[in-house]
Amino acid sequence: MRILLINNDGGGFADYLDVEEGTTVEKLFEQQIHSARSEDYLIRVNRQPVTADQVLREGDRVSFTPTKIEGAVFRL
Amino acid sequence: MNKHHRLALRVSVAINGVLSGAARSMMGVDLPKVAWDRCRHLTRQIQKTSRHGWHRAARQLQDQFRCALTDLRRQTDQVAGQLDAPDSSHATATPHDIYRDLITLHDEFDQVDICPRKHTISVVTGPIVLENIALGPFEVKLNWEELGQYQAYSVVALDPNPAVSSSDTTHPHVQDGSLCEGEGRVPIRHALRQGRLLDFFVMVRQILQTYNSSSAYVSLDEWQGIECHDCGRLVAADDRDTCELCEVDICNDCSTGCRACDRRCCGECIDSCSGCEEYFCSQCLGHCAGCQQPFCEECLTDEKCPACHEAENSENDFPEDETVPADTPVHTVRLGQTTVPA
Repeated sequence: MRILLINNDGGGFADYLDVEEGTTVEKLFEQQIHSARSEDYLIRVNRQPVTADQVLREGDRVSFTPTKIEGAVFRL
Repeated sequence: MNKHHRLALRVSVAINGVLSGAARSMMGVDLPKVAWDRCRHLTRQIQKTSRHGWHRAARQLQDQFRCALTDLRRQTDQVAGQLDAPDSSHATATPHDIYRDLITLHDEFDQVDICPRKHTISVVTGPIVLENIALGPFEVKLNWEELGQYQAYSVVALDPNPAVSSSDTTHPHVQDGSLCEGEGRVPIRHALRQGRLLDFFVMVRQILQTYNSSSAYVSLDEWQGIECHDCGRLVAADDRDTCELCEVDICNDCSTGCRACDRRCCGECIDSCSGCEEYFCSQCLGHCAGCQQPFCEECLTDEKCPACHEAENSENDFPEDETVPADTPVHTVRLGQTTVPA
């Protein structure tokens, strides 16, 4: 089945993705965000917070956004 | 459908129209031009300060240059990451996506305002507190007519608690209403380009809730001023000095220059010469081998002060049978006077 995955980490991208039936949010996170803890991300399915064991459905919109994004300085 | 939903729907269609136009004019890759320009600007500044012999200013600029280089490197890496990321040009939000984002903003933020006349969407964050410093809530205002431009939004403190040294700096990463996005730069550009407004506002909020001490306009350590080591006053960063010997922070009023080497020093590292009474740092100030009082190099001759020399000469002038009692003071420091038995 196909979902829309939005990864707001690093380069940040949104793209459609084929996943297996029965894939949970937690499993998708492990597949897509390597070596990171899910507690450090805002995870939304169809714009709403969800539990880790929620099973994804066809057409779902899933977004991963880091809770901590470091700003910086630029000034001329 | 209530009036808020109707407004959101109308605005969604308008934003989708702007996005379609902007998508045709946007380049695929965002080069880190601002970060590069900052590096160039700093190198010119460093060259200028070095030419004038302003070594202290040059050192501070070098620290800023190091941070700027780190920022440039990170942004260059992000550009490389963009090339590796899948092509998401087809992922531009539909009016329905934008509508859902606008409706969901109310779940993420207590206050959401849409102004069709000014083409703006604004949200208000909760109060931001970083390392126990309350910075108040911030308003993030996006102008959807400027979605294709570099800075299509502003970030304004509603209950500002700016840095003591810079009234324009209301957050370590916000100056003059502009947020320096740092590592959020590329994902924010992508979110705006694709019309993912909810992601955009959430990412800006997460940046505001995060402190990057290595690249801040004003570090939180110095937010409320710096305590002078000598007088204990809190002073702005611009009014502070650093003792060049022991490196403690001092205010400009407590900073004293050494007459010999020009080092700026704190009260503990500088003293006055007992002879000429000018100030010298502890490395330039010697001690009289006789009375042990501090003297500058010019006031010492053969490691002794004038008074000790005078006392010594007076002793030599005495006849052999005229001795000075052991408990008689031989000289008075500074006044150059010597008590001689009648």
